[in-house]
Amino acid sequence: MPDALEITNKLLASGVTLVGDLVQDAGDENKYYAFTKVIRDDAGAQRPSNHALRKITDSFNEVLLQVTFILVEDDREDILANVKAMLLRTFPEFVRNVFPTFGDQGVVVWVEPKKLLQPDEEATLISKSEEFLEFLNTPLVSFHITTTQNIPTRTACLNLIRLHSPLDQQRLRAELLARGFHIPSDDWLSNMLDKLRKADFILRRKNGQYTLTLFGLEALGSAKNRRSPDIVRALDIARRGA
Amino acid sequence: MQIVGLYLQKEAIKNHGTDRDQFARSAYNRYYYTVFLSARAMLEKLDSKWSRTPHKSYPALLNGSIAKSFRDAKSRARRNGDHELVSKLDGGIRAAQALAKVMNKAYGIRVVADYEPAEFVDFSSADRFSLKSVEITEAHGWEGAVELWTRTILQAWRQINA
Repeated sequence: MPDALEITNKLLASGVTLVGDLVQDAGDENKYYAFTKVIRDDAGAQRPSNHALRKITDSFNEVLLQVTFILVEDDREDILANVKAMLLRTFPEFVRNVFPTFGDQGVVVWVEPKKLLQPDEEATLISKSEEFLEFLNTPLVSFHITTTQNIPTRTACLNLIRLHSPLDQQRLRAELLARGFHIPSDDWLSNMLDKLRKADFILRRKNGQYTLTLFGLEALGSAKNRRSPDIVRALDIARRGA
Repeated sequence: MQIVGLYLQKEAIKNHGTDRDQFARSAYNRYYYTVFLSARAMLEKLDSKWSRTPHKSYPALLNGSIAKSFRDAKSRARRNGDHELVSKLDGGIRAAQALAKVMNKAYGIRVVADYEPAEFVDFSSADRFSLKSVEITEAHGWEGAVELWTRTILQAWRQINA
């Protein structure tokens, strides 16, 4: 088993620049942390790349050693701080907070808005960030606008219809709320059910209850684990029978 | 934890005695636990069996089982034309990767702070300090980002496990 010096030499030979000594884990003598200096090339890509670092990690894994790279970049924090300051300063009316991070090929920006943003407002935020990062020679790889309200997607609605079928709109609403979803209005849910029905995912019975079609069942698929929807549904039916 | 970390950070900056190194190291330790406790609270909500996962296995779990669940669901959502879910799962995958990266960094720097006294804390800046080039201001900022990422992961998880 290579010791810390041999590992260090191998890392240096692979083109890795270490910040100080290799750090051995306190509870696992086969695990090391390599604080590694990275730079950005002219296209804004990280060097050494994550792919190259993964290959080094894999080669150590083969001899049962775990080497975790912790990336340190001199101007990295400055770039992130500048993006954050720019967005907060330029859009104070709808940006509450910004958390930019470095991904494999550039910057990932996370924005916490003060309100539900309109598509044109989102587009403005993204284009302004792209423009700003381009100036810093760093690509924007993705942009995420987060919200505290989790509005159900149609898959979430279909999953619940499958589990509790047949059920009416009020029961579906109650089930969604019980799982922490936010429902904008009864009309919104009504429209969602209408769209699902028109797309042949669900059927509406004469009594106002909904059930999945075969197409809907196939679209959702199943799972062979303890969270299997078939098992959950069987338990739900048993509970209703009792 | 965050409040204690900030207190220790401030003490390390204003204290010019020999104790400043210990305040600085303890600040990194507390900021690590801020990250860890948020991540653990999230994992408990995702699946109770993950609540006992050892600290250092968190990044592998986030990049492994959790990201894979999101990727599998994303393929199906794309086939079904559920673009909103695809977008939420993209966010979930990115958030899991970002959280794993911060957990690795926070854990690694905690190990240095707690067990490697020979690695000196760099106090060359007037209002901040760093350990192994990890700025304390970066460690202080982990809390907000982790809160956002855990929420994003939870939201995506609920969408596919409703």
